[in-house]
Amino acid sequence: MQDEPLLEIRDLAVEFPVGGRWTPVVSDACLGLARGETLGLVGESGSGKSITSMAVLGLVGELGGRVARGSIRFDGQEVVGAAPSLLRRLRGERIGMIFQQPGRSLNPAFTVGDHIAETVRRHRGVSRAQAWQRAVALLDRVGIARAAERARDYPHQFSGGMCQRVMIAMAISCEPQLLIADEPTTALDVTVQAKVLNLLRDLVSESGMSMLFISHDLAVVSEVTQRVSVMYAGQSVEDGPTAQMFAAPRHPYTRALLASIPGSGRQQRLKLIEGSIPSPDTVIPGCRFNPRCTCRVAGVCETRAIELRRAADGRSVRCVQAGGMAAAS
Amino acid sequence: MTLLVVEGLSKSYPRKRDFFGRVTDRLDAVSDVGFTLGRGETLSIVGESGAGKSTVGRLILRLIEPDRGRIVLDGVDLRAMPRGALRAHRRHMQMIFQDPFSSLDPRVEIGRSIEEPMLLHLPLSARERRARALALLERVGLDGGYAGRLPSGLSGGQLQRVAIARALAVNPKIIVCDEPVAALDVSVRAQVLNLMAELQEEFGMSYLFISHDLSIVRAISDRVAVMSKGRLVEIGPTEEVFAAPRNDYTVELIRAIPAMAHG
Repeated sequence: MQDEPLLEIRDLAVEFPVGGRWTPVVSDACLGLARGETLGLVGESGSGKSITSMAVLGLVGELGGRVARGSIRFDGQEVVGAAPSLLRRLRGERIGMIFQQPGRSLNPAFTVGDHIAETVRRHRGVSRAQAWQRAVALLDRVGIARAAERARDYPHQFSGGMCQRVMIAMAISCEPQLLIADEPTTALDVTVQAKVLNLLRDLVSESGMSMLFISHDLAVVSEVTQRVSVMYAGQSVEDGPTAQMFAAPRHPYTRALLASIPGSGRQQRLKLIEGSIPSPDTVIPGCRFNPRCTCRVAGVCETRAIELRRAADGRSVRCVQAGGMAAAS
Repeated sequence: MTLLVVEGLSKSYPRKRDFFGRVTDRLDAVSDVGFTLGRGETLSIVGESGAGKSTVGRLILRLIEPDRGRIVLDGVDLRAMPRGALRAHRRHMQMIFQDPFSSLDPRVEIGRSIEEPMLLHLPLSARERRARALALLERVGLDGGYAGRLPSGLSGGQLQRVAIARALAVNPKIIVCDEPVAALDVSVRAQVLNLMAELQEEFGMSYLFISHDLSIVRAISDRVAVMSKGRLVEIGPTEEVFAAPRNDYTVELIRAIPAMAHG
């Protein structure tokens, strides 16, 4: 059982109605997350990374979409099509979640202590006093100074970074096996971001939980994750250990994305990817990236769907040229 | 050659009032900020949210009225000027904002949005304006067909190109860019930054680039100014500031930049 990944997503397709037709927003997502591991899910807007995480929580239906195909197994259990009661127990208790805008997820009429105590009481059935005590302990754990006092404050009395710490305290209150962090530091200042990332890293290493870290920021991902899965326009295109992938990316999209990050020093021009991200209702035959790809093979890339293939070294890539590239790297 | 001189720029807001409505406490949003901007130069202002960097941009354009300070553009003191006369000088300073979706009127076609500043500032006929708008659209990489579209039909990167075309429409000497690529996707960001660099070479205007993203600032600026709590704490050539920051806050800011795992 322990060798089995905690989370495994296979051939996932999620559709939403666009102009009266079911349109795939995620067309082929595949990823595996081991116990105690932190996986970065990287992609630009419209890549389907957030929708994939919503599917893990069984929330696609609530958003008006549907899972059209594929499987999501969490700790050996199938999530797709699972009963609502099971999904409710999964959310909050075994899977914690934090979002980009911490302020918007907190109710301004309740103290921050109430928020955490409520989560504890709902899932653990302890007394009010015990729940409050646990809330204070959690606030202290996530680095809020004078936690007993600050627990009585309202969200507006907290800064953005502190609100994100409160969200983290709520998310870990039931000692989940998996923490999903969707762009958790995107709205924060750079010095605050560094502190929140440190906190997340500490919590993961001391609790042994896994983390699915969703971000568009490759530098941040390189700092906190062991593995990375890259998505483009609804498909997983590359997957592998963070250091190896960043040192020698195999998919042309991953390569271009890494190259477009400014290095140090004044630059005349930045390297760039031509064109723009396709909208979900654009039909692109063959490889979804081929219209923007600089190493497109005419007659191949735009004619047939490309499979995500796993190489002998455990890295996966969805590209016809991947074999040659894997040998070269 | 110096184009813009800013001296002692200050702006504070009332924070607390007593029972009689008298101000008892003020928040110094910007205090005593001074710098110069050369012709064709890119100066970046960095700092965290609340540092006052966006307020400086708006004060220079007098979108917000400063409490104190001098703003001298090409030898003309803009603060000494009455608001009516200021309008004619506004064309020399244009602005690009972070969110292209909310900086263009959703009901006005792209082409007309670009023509609008010309209407105020340039003595052109309707036909000349139209032709200039189309030429500018093409110059920022969008074909003329986009002129008739509404903003909702364009992506964020395309809209930011439109915002750039509109700023260029009146041949400004300075463009204040307030986080112009912060809302854009990584792969589109480089396209917009490169376009801005090309246009600067072609037209020779200066950029005052306001950003919290130090890795971008390092790649595109000649000089960088660091702000903290309303004050300018450090200013100098970009590589000098990054290699040997003098101020403690600058050190902290540079240390917090997430580093890529590889070289």
